[in-house]
Amino acid sequence: MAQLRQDHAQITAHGAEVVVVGPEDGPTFAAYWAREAMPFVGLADPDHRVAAAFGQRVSLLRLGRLPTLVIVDRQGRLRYRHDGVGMHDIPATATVLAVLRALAAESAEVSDPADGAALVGDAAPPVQAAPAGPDAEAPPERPAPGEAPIDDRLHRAAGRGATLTPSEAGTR
Amino acid sequence: MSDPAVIPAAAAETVPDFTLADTAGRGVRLSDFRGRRHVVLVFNRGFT
Repeated sequence: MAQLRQDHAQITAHGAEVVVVGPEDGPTFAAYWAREAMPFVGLADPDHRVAAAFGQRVSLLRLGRLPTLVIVDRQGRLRYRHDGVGMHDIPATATVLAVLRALAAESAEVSDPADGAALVGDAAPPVQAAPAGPDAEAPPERPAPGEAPIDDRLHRAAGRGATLTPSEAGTR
Repeated sequence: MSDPAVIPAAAAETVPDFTLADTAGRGVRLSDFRGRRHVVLVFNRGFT
């Protein structure tokens, strides 16, 4: 934890947030966080629900939980995992930074138009979620009686959710 | 130092999402970082 605190700025400079999940209850966790002036997000997981979901190991011999460090990329995928074998066994900051550099190099290599479209798609929902004015171009949800058949309405609904440009859509 | 074992994107699995309260009592959801930041997620052994 001391190492993480010391190197926190380097990690955030590489496009990552540090999130620490611990087994204490909320008040204990908050008191420790305030006392130590921890600069990153701390989350109390007193029933170990999240720790279990991520497979944090518990050593009966050592009478305690073993530290686990995982790196989740921007797409929400597990890209690195270190399961500690001792109570203070977490990866060196240099290792964490090397993983983050590898992820950065990977996204810089993206030149496939399909990947580019996927990235645009990832970023699009918040924009689309903005309240649409009455002049929004989306067609009405309910067709007038006797209007378009259901297949056509579904097609249009699907088209509304996609991020194709008109020219791309025209090639379909 | 040698390269750490980064899991290739093609083989990487989506992690389970969760929401927990932070030290100010606000709910933090892992997927809130999606599309914006990588997350170095540390499961602590506890400090008590």
